[in-house]
Order: sequence, then C-alpha cells, then structure tokens
Amino acid sequence: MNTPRFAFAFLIVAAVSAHAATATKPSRYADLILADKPVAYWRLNDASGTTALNLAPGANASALNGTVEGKVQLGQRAQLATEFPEFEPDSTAAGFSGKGEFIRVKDPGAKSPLDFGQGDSLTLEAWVFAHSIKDGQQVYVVGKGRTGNKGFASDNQNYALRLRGDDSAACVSFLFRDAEGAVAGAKKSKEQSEKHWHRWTSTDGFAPGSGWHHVAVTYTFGKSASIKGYIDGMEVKGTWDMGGKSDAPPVVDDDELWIGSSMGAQAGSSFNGLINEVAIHRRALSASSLKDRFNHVPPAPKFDLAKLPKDRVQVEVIEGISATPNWNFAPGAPAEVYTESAFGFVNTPTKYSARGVRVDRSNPFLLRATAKVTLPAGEHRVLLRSLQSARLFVDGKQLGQTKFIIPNGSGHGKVEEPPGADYPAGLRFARTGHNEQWLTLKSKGGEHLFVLEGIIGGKGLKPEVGELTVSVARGNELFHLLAPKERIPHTDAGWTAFTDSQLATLATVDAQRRKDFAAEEHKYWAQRHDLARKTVSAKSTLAVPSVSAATPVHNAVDRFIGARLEAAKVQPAPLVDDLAFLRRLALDTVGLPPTPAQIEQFLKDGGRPQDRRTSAIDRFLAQPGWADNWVGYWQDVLAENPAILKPTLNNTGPFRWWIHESFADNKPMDRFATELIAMEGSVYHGGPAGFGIATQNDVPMADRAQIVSSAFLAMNLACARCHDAPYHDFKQKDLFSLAAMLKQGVQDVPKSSSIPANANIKVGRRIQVTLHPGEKVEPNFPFAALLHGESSASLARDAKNSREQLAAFVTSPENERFAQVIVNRVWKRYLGWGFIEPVDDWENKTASHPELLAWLAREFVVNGYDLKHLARLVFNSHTYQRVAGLHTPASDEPADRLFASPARRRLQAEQLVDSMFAVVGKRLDAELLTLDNDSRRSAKDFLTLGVPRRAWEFTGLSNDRDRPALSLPRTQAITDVLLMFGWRETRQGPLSVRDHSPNVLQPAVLANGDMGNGRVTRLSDDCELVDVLTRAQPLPELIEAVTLRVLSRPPTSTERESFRNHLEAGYADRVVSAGKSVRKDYDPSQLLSWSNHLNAKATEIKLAVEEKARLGDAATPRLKHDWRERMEDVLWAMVNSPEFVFVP
Amino acid sequence: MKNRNLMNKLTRRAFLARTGVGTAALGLGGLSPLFAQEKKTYPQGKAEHCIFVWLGGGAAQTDTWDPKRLGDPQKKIAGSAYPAIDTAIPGVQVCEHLKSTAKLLDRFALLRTVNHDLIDEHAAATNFVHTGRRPTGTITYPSIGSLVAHERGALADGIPPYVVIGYPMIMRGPGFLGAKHGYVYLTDTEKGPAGLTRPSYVNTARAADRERLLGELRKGYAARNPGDKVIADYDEAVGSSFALANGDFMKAFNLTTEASSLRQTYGGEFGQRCMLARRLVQRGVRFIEVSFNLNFINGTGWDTHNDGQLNQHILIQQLDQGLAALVSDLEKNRLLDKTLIVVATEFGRPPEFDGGGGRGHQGKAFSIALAGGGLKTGQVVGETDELAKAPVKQPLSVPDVHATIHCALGIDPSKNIFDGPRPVPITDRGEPARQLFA
Repeated sequence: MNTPRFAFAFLIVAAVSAHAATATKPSRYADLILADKPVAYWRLNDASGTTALNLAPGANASALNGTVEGKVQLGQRAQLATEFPEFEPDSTAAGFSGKGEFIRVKDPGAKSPLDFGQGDSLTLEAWVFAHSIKDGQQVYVVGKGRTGNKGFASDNQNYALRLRGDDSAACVSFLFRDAEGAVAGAKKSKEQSEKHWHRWTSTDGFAPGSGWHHVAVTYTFGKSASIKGYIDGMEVKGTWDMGGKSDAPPVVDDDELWIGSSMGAQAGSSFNGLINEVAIHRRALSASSLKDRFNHVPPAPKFDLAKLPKDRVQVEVIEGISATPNWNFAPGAPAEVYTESAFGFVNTPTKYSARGVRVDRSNPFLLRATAKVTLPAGEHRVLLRSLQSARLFVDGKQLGQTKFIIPNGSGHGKVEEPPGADYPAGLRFARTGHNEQWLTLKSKGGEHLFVLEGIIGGKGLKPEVGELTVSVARGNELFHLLAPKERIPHTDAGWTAFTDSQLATLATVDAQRRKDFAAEEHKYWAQRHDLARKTVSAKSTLAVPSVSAATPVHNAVDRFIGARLEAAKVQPAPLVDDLAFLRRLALDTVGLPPTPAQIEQFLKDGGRPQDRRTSAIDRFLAQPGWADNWVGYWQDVLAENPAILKPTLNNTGPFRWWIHESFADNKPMDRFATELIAMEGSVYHGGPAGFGIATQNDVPMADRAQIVSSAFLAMNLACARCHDAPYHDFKQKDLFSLAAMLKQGVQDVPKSSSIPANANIKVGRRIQVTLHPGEKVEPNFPFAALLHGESSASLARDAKNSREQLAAFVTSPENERFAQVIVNRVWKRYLGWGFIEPVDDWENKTASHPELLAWLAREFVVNGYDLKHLARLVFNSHTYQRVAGLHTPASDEPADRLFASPARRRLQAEQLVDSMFAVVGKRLDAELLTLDNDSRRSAKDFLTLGVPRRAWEFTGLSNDRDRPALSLPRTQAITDVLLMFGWRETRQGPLSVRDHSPNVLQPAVLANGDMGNGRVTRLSDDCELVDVLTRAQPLPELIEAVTLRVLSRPPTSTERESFRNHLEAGYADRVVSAGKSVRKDYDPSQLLSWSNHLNAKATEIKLAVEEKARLGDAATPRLKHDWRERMEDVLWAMVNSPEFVFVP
Repeated sequence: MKNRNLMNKLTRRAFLARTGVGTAALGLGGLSPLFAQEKKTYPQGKAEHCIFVWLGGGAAQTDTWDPKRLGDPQKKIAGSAYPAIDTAIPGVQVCEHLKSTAKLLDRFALLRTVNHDLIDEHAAATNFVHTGRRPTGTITYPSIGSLVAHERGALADGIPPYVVIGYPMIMRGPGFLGAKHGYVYLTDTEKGPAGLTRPSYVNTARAADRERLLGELRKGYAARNPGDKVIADYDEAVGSSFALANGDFMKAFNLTTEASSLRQTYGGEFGQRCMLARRLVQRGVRFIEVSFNLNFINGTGWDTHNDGQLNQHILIQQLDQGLAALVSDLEKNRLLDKTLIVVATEFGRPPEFDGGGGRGHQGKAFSIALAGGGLKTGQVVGETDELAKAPVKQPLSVPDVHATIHCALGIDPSKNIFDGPRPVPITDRGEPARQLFA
C-alpha cells in the first residue's frame, strides 16, 4: 500500500502540480479508525466548547464523551492535508500546555468498554505533537485510573499510553499496575510498592518538536510477551523496565480515564503539545493495520527536473524557514543556487551586504541538494549523517531522517559509547554531535532522483553545517559519497581532499561574490579615490632628493634614505644574497619560507638580478598568503578578541574573517577603516559588527574609540578614560565625544570612568578629572582642526550617521595623518623601525624621515590607498634588500634611525608556527576550536572558530575552569609556542608592537614542546617531506633538498658533512614498502563536549587523549624506524636553530 | 663562570623580577611626586614562598572549613553533608573528612568570612580571586602569582619564580606585567613542565645527537652573522634553555627520588602535587599554584552540583591527606614558617541542596585556609551565621585576602606598580587580617 502512495508523492515532485494533490481526495482518517471498530474514539477535532465527542459507534457512545478540564485549547490547527493526505484540510487538535489540563472521561461503571481485565487485549493509539519533554519525564497521552480521585487508590492504573523522555527523545511507553499491588490499606515499602508497577518503554523515540507522530501500543493482559509498541506505524523495540514484565492481572475499577494528564493533574505527568485521534480498541490491532495509520507525504521540494545540471549536485540555500525544530514548513525561494560534485557539505557560500561585508543568514536556514544518480541494481547501504536534522528522499519517497539537536546548557550529560568493531571498514567516523541513519535502498538499477534536505542551525544554536553527508556502499565495499559522477571514498583521506576542495571553491566563490554584491560600493570608492588624487595633486609637490652615484638606488625611497646617509657619512649595508632575499620576501608577504618550487622558479628566472627580484616581488604579492600574514597584525592592533566560551572582558565577535577577506581582496585601507568604524554585518560570524561589542565593558564605545584612534590616527587616548591624559593633550571629553560618535548618540560617563578614591593618585595640576560620572557627552569629532579636516564631514554618505562622519574624518585625504600612520606601520613591519616611534602614539614625536614619510603617504593616497602598492615600493627598494642587522641605531632618537641596514627581526609567533609546519609539509592539525562539539549552544556563549589552517586562527582555549575535560591538548601544544613568542590568547586591548626580547622559555618550548617534537619533526604519513625522503637519490642530494626546504639555502660544507655522518648508516635500505593508512584511529574525544564534560568519564577519556597527544603523531611505516629517527633529529636541529626564528 | 652567565640570563631577561620596573625604568623619573601615597603602615611578614592550592569549582565551606549543623542531601535538609570533628584549635571544628588536617589545625588560620558577589560565572569569580580585581575596561590585571613573582623574583638564580601545576589560563597570567612574569606550567606531576621536559621518546643518546647537530647549526649561523646582537641574545637563550632543562630545577620534577613512604603519606595525584610544591620551594621557586582539578573522581570536581556531591568526600579526604602531609613535611624541613600555604577557591556553596542532591554557588560567605608562613596561626578569622550563609563578624573581601597574603610575604599591599605610565596599587584597597601578624 505504501508504494503507490509514495509514487503519488513523486508525481507532485516531478510534475510541480499543486492540482494533482487535490484531484484525488484521500479517504478520511476517521474511516480508517472506524473500520477497526474502536470502543472509544475521541478525534479531539471539536471546534470549541467543553466537550470532546466520542465517535466510536454504539448506542451509549455519548456516555464516553469527554469533558475539558482546565485550559485545554480545542480547535488547534493540526495535520496539514498536504502532508498527511488522509486528514481533511481543516483538521484540528486539542492543545495542552503541560501544566495539568486534561480531558476527563467518566467510567460508565462495572464492565464498561473502558475496563480491561486479565485476558483482555487492547490497543491504545493517538496522534501527538509533543512540544517538549524532559529526560526522565513521563507524560500521559491517555490513561485509566491513577487520577488521584477520591475513593480510589492513588496507584490504580488499569492502563496508560505515555511518552517517556529519554536522551532527548520521546519514547512510547505503556504502564499498568497489577491487582496484587492494589490491595488497599496495606503499608508497603518503596521496593515492595515498585514491583507491582509494570512499565514497558521503547528504546527509540522521536524528537520532541519534530511534528506530528502516531503512537500506539497493543497488549493482552496476562501475556507479558504480547506487548508491542509503534511509532509512526512502525513497530519499535522496547523493554519492560520498572517492575519487570508480569503476567499478573491489572487493577480494574470505575475510576476515570484522562487524556493529557494524570496523578491529580500534576505538571510533571502532563502532556505539552497537541493530541488528536485518540482511539481504544478491545483487541490488539495488527502491525499492518497500524502501519497504515501513518502516511506522511513530506512537503516534497519542488523544482524542475529538466533544469537539473548534468553530473552535478544542485545545491539550494533557503532562508527564512521555521525556527521551531520540525519539518512542518514550506520552504520559500532559494537565496542561493549552486552546484557541488557530491552529497557532502561542510559549509555554504557566505552572505554579503551591498557593502561587501559578511552578514548572517536566517538562523536556521535550509540546505537542499538534488541530483540524479545512477546506481547499479541491488541492495545499497545508505548512510545519512548530519549535525542538525536532515532528511533524504529517493524518487520522491523519504528514505530517512535524522534527529533535531536539542539545545542544552548543562554539562552533566552522559558520555556515549564509541563505535563498535562492526563499524564499516574505512568509513570516516562521525564527528561529535552528528546523527547517523543507516538505510537500505533497493534499486533495480538506473537513475534515481536524490534530494537531501538539511536544516542548518536553529533557535539558540549556531548555524553550522557540520559534516552533512549521504554516502552509499554495496555489500562490504567502502562507503563513497553519493555523487552523480565522482567517486569519492568516505574515508578520512577522501573526505579531507573533498572538503579541502569544497572550501577552496567556496573561498573563490565568496571572493567573486564580494566583488559582485558590492559593485556599487566599488564605484563609490573609485570616486573617493579620484577625489583623493585631486586633493593631493592640489598640494605642493614633494621633491625627491638627489644623491651621489655611489649611493645605491633602486627607487625613490633609496634617494630619501641615501641623502640622509650621505649627510651622516654612513655607508649603507650591501644587498643581501638572492636566496636570503627570497626568504625575507616570502616571510614578509605570505608569512612562510619559500617552497622548493618557488625557489626553483626564482633561480631559473633569467634577466638582470634586480629584475628577477622585482618579478619575485610581484609573484609573492599575488599569493593568497598575503592576507594570512596580515591578520595577526590587525588582530593585535584592533584588539580582536573572540572567546570560545562565555565571553569575559572586552571579548568581541570573530571579525578576523572580515580582516582576512579585506586583505585577500587588497581592500583599500581607507575603506577598511570605514567598514570597521561602521561596524556593520555579522556580529558572531565574522563581520565588522563583531568589533562593536566589548563584553563586560561598561563603556564599550569608549574602548572602541580608543582602538580606532590608536590604530588609524596614532593617538593614544587610553588615559582619557578616567582623567585628562597627563602626558598628552587629550581631554576626557575627547574620548567620550568619539565614543558618542560610535554610539550614535549621547554617551553617559559611568562611575568607573573616574579616578577611584583609593587610587593613590593625587589629582592636581597634571592629572585632572574634567568629566564627572553621570555627565552626558554629545557626538563630536574633537580633532577636526588638529587634522586639518574641517571639511571632511562632507565625505560622509549619510550626514546624520555619526559613525559615517567619524570614518570620513579619519580617512579624509585632507587628513594626512591617516595615510602617514599606515605608511609608518608598514615601514616598521618591513624594516624593523618606524619613521616615528611608537607607531600608535605620535603625540610630541618627530619623524626620522618626514619627507619620505610624506612622500610615501602621498604615493599611497594617489594609488587609492593600495597597501600592495606601498609594499611593492618598499620591497623593491635597496633599503629593504640590504643585509640586515649590520647597523644598529646609536639611540632611540629619530635622528639616529638612518636605515643603513634593516633591523634584525624575529619571526612573528604566527609566522614561526606556520613556517614550522610548512617546511615539513604538514597541516596544523589542531582540534576544532570549540568547547561545544555537539553544537548545542548559541554563538553568544560558545563560538566555534573552525579547524585552524593558519596560526592566526587560534584563540585562547578558555579553560578558566581548570577542567581536564575541557582541555584541547593538540591545540594547547601549538598555542604554548605562540604565547611564548608574543601572541596573545586574549586581546583585551590594542597592541601595535609585541615584546620581542628573547627569553629562555622560547627555545625551550620549541626544543621540548609537543608541537616541535611529536608533530613538526615527527615523520608521519601525512607529512609531505616523507615523499621527498623516500625518493631514490644519493644522500647528498637529499641533504641538499631538505636544507633548501627548511632553511632556504644549500647546506654549508660543515653541515653537509655533519648531516651525512648522521644519516649515512642504513640510508640505502631506509625505505619500507607500505601503503598509506586508510583511517586514523578513533579519537575518543569525539564523544566529548561541554554538554557532558562534568561526567567523570569525560575526564578519564580526555586524560588518555592528552597522553596520546603527548606522544605525537604516528610515525610513517614507509621509513625504517632507526633511520627515520635520525632524520627527525636533523629536522629538529634545523627548526630549532636560531636561523629558523629570524628573518634573513 | 658558565653558571654565572646562566644566572644573569635568567634573572635579567627571562624572569626579570624584583622591583627594577620602577618609575625610572619607564622614563618617568620626574613624576613620582604626583602619585603621592597615603601614609599607612602594614604588617610585614617573613614568608619567602607561597603555595597556593586552588580548589577550582567552588569548594563548599560547610563541608570543609566551616562546618555547621548536619543536613541531608537526600532529604534536602540544609546543612553540612558530613559531621564535624574537633581540631587542634580548642573550640574549632572542621569536617570529619579533614581528620589529619584537624590534628594540625594549630598551624592554620581559617578565613571563614571571605565574600564577594560574583557567583554566576566560574570564570569571573576565578579571575577575581586570582587578581583581586574586577575587570575594568582599560586594564588586564596580573594574577597574585605574577604579582608576587614580579615583586620578589625567584630565590635562586636560574629558577623560574612562578610555577603552576594545572592548566594554563589567563587569570593565572601576568596581565599588564607582560609574558616575562608568567608561569611555567605542568598539568600532571608525571609529566614535568610543558616546554622544559624532554619528550619520553627522546632518550639521552638521541638528545645528545640533537644537541650536537643543533650546535653545529648555531655555530655556523653565529659565524655568518658576527656582531649581530639580536641573534647573539637569542642564541644565548638557546644555551640557557638547555641549562635550565638539564639543570637542578628540572630535578625537582623527579619525584621518584623521594622515599616511597613519604610519597605514600602524601597520597594520590593531589598529594604528589603538594610534594612537588615542597621540592620547588626547596629549589627557590617563589610562588607555586597547585590546582586540585582531579575531576575524574566525581565528574564535577569542587563544582558539586547534582551528583557531583556523591563523591565529594573523596575529594575532601584527598585534600586532607595532601595538605596534612605538606604541612608536616614543610615543618620537618623547617620550611613551614617560611612558606605560606593558601587553600583558595572561587566561591563557596549554600547549605541547601539542589534538586539533584548537590549544591549551587554562594559568594556571600566562604572559607579560605592559610597555613604556616610565619603567621600567628591557630585561630579563626571571622565568623559566619548559623548556616554559613553570611558573615556576622569581620567580613573579608577578596582584596583583604590578597593584602593578607602580600603582607605575609613582606609586600606592601598598597604599593603602586605600573602599567605603562599608569600607577596601579598592588591590591584594590585590601586590608590585611592584622590579628595574624605578631
């Protein structure tokens, strides 16, 4: 009977015809029930009033009419006829709030149709839409006795159909009390009392809130084995739990039957949701009859089959779906349509505003994937895996559905068991919190239409895709992702390669979309930059000094620097050699040493040596790593400070993603500053609005104003938070006026923004409190005159928007300060000293080369605030390309900064970590940066920052609770290194220059830490270097290749000799023929999340995982143990060498 | 001579300590008159070290140091979960599971009226108890460990002044004092400190090979960059790091050299941490934070909501064993008078029981225990009401507790330290419990 119905459903899908549905009107559901001759049948579709009619036939039918007690809401909209074809279009139900309302049915007396005794068979059935049910709670659908009515024993349960909450599911449950236990009067112990209760509960259930479900039990008293339970027409397994099974007779008396509650209508046993179609039969209905009760035609997706792209999976992103966790909604038009190669998803395209900044989609939204896939004839195992609920349709028929996430704030949940030995070989294990549905599909062979729908996010949840997949296998084959054409094994390796490619494609798509969406915005900035050029060209020209022929000159920069050197009679350092230059350039552009291929390309490049360097500069500036290398810098300067667990002081949203996109797009810096100040877009998922929050801060906008002014104007207003700055010319009011601009309204001065009475500070001549708590400050830009930008406000697109105004003041071409501050920051980054120091506080400071600073700033402005243009000028200069560290300024005085030789710079923490992994060819391989692995919490409290690919993506691990179960050992090993080298796990305030003084723990953490040992220098299978090491080649060639790869230079003769001595023994037969491993060992931390971290087992598991992490990656079987270890020693020495931590 | 270099290296740079970071160092020599201090004198204790035991999660005062009438978790009757016993201080009782400590209680001073109002969030309260400050929008405050390390440095050259046995966390950190006043940490006594302990799979021979190979690379690099001070400084730090990793400090972590009878006296992992703390004291470490985060015992650690209460007595027993052993051992080694032990937690717990038979959070009154440190021990400071829900006599704020600790260590709690040009008093108006000082 099912098959034709589903075929009918397919018609809807294929024909896109709404009429088809109404043309064949289905039989009424009531006819189905009445055909089975119930003794009582309350449809509960009574429109209103206080009576629930009994529709079971019989002369005394009305005796079994129910009366409404309490606020039962009759006439609630029930099953949609479009989804449940047997129901009439206006089907209604009774609504219960879970607080104790119920429907009372009086027992007509002895031997009534409602009494069931020994030997009697019964069927209890109903439709329910459960809104919520707590774990361990049992709520009544229908039960006789146990009402708490006077004159009856309180435990006189003849029978009851209940739902029991278990592990976030609603399970069907049957309960009765045997007559032996119902002897009135006798006082019984708890134990004695309990053994007379007999409760059977299904092991499976449905998710509360997941829409309408049919539940039923059948039972014959006296035959405990006869119990059967049904959910949605399917028989479910279960067990007799409380009191065990019993063939004893039940209690029978004349107590009432209640629908929706029990036990004196106490809330704990009361149903919360909708109920209708309650029926009682005096026989056990067959499985096939009950199967026919549930005929659900899911609101099948509509689309045009003919338009499906060939050999691709069509993906639609649909926003604005219902936020309640169920499938009872009709999806609207897709916001995005694109294609993928297979039914596997880790992310969706990012949404951008018309200004090109990240914005949030609706939460939740729907991902729908559709494709025609040809399968060979036979039986296929199908695995549907998802984080949030997903369902799979094959040829219009729903094959399976996974559960909804139940939001959960507790940490006391249970720890699941790991997958057993019977888990399919090679199949990638499911990530924490993911649901799996194992399905079977019989195919006659040929083309099938597959539709996967996955809900992403939900109320109180993060909109995370997780790993949403459909994979298939025949027999004992490996599971492969379902795909029209590609064959992608669902193994760790297959999945990693697939998702790498998906994410790369999405990144490209996103970049294009930023361009397309913000086309108007680009035009606006083009006009702004035209205006800026005009403004600058109207000013007097800046003469480039001339220098003697002896002074080396690559470009104008060198003339400014050279003139000063000549005057000071200082000889500049010579050019650094080619390979050292390349390493310096690579580190300064992409933050990594050059790859062997990049070195080869550079060395092969013909032409003049200088042209070779210039082409290399152009190549490296075009690398995507340019963005990665800038993010860490601006995270510091802008105090980007996301926390993965419950925000504390000055936590922000993760606007890192916007920073990254800005530099990936080489966004003009005036636009970058403007977008930051506008604080638009996504708060918790990477837009500049994330900059707009500063948690636990009572004047967040004063904090933001301070960051903006130090970042872009080099004005330090920190002191002005509480008093007029003693060493600056800034008043408290200046800061609060800026804060008011960002707040777009009057800013109050809080109590904390004053000098506390105890502060041991004498308020006097120099330190004055000029604003007092409670004062109100209007938005105003206090530095307009100072920055010669009185007319700048006219640049604001919205004159009334004070953030726009502030951005205009900051970035106006009239205001030379902005461009010079950026130039000075860039110069400091590449040469080691700024023209003005410190770069974020210019008050009363002078520049070492004011003319060059002004000249570069104009170049920068004339070229549209293009950072790469500026960097190109610097990189091409002789000044940048000189040997470093030969001349150290005699003092901190600007006059002593001559730039005869660049400063010796240590790698930034992020560069160091990235470089270490890069030279051996490994990914960072940290844990997913979250403490909410099963995604049951909102982004407001628990951010998820993804699996880091570059070091800037890390953040503090927030284990403020000191709980082992919350540790992330592999990530910790990396952040230990980052922290030691100056990276900050929290950025409560802005920082422009990190502390670079060496300390003993820096080399120590590299030499002994787990990152350096068990990871970077462990030759594991996923390490690209192993491919190099197993290649057939003479040992000296191998040494050459490895040294070039790690240190970007050939080995010295001493090193050659030393490495050869160390690696010679066993070299010839170092290679073992072995395949790569298919699947990583099961990682038991997969079982853990915040939701169960207070379980003792979670701590035990995590301690074992920590221990394993300490031992590092598994070594490759492709190299002999002994030789491999010696090779690791050589690598260890190279990455621990001071040479590795410095820019050449 | 070589040793001398190492000492310089460590004191000068890595663990820069003492009071060198004064106004002069910041180029603000002329400003000090502006920040005139109040004239107030503080007691000056003679303790040289501090062992700061951390009961993360919020230990219930009624089930430890401040027992009250017996309640019942099952029946939800408010009160202590366990009977109380007499102690070496006449008239003062503690929970029966602190039986060894009870006998030594005359070496203790119990602060029973510590209070604050941050109870909703462990992180906020942990931050407050560690820094003595509420967060303000413009400053990241240092932890008490970093403050003490900053003020007094290590007692021996070449030794880190501040060691944490527990997970790294921001509130244990140096705040505005900067990374060099941070800590060395280990999560487990079996492992040794992160970053200083050679991995188990690198044996001595292999380590020697590595050092030799690295030595050649270092030599070559230095030779190619003569006179480059930046490189030379880092290279020197590399040398120092080997000296530290192979030196006396690291021997502290080899607990197997202790008599097994003593190890047994100390007990499980918490006890071993206490014993390690004593060994670190002996090597000149100034401040050691010992975390009691053995959450595998009851799941929740000291955060005994719901069923976390069930095995709380095991936590208390282990605390008792480790603490009593530590006090006795320090005393035997004549270190107790020089070593202040602080048993702290972020807040207490109410006398009432929650639906799951455990306890919620209570900040209005909770206990911190002090021992040794040359204080006038054998007394209880402050008094709570009949169910330890509120102080009735001598309430102590968290800054007061900090002031008491600083005074015990000879640090003026009102002294200004500097975040850049900004003066920040060591405690936020903290007043020490003066009766503890002779």
